[in-house]
Amino acid sequence: MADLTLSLKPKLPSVLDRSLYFGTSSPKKPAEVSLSSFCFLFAEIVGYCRQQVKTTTEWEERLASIGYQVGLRTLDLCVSRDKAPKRETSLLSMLLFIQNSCWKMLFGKPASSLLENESEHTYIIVDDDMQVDRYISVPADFADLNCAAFVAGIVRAILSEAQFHCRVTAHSSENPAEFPNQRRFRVEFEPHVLARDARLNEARKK
Amino acid sequence: MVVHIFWVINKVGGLIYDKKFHPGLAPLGVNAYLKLSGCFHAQHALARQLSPVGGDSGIEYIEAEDFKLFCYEAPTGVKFVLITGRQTQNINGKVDAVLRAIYELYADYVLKNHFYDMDQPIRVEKWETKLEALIEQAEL
Repeated sequence: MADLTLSLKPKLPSVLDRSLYFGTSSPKKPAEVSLSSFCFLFAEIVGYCRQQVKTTTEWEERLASIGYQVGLRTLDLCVSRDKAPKRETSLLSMLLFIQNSCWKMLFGKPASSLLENESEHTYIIVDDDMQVDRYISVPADFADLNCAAFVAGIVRAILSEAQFHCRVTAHSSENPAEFPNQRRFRVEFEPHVLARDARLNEARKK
Repeated sequence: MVVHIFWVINKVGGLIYDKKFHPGLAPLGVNAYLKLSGCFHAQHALARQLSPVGGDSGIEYIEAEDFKLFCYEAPTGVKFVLITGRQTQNINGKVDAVLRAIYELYADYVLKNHFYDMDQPIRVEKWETKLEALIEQAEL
């Protein structure tokens, strides 16, 4: 007797045939994930990264490496979803791209501000209300741990893949009373990137 | 609404969080609170079984001469107990709303925190600040 149940099962199109916006209501409105689900997952990720690490620095590095994997995919996705994709060659425009487009895609709103520390040649991306580690309360024993290292990993991946090699570290709020969830991401570019950018800026001025 | 004491009792009856407000009250030892909350947990369970119609919820409200006790039991068995002064009126379910808001805070700041182990005493900084702010606002 032929198996009748097989034909009754609805067939989803294969992964390659599905629309890029599968699971969303329209291409204009990309899929949103519930904050609660993400935070439960993130709490587990923090715990997972803790295995076999001996210092909080190593712990942060593992979190950042997971964020790096996210960032690799974010760059391509963000550029391809852009209406007029352009490859950024200037440092400042790349940082602005991250502050606006990438942050909007990842977190639903652009980052609050982009600051430059001229003396140290570093840049700081500030998000006044970071939702990723909003519910994580680090006890005093691990006071140096900053779970936003995950997001620092994302930023580092986006910049590195666009050939702006750098180190990114996450720092807590400067003003805990007013902005308890503020996170600052300090971007320190490699010297050759800074030199290249200076050269290109000179060339552009001419 | 004057709040005297707030307890969180886990699903097996252990006291995982207790907070005393208004230090003017005569303090009992830590063990006394553990015993009282365990006692309340047992009574709550008994009350649920005693109902002749079934589907009972357990103790929600106790009114005594000097205090009123409000309890909200989450579907997971965690109980949030608020012991308030005599004058408190549960107008329009105001106190129930406060307890539900506390449950939301619990679900956010305690459960989504990697550093908290299930059913253990709650020692989470963000939970304490948010809880204090909520109770302060409720007392107005």
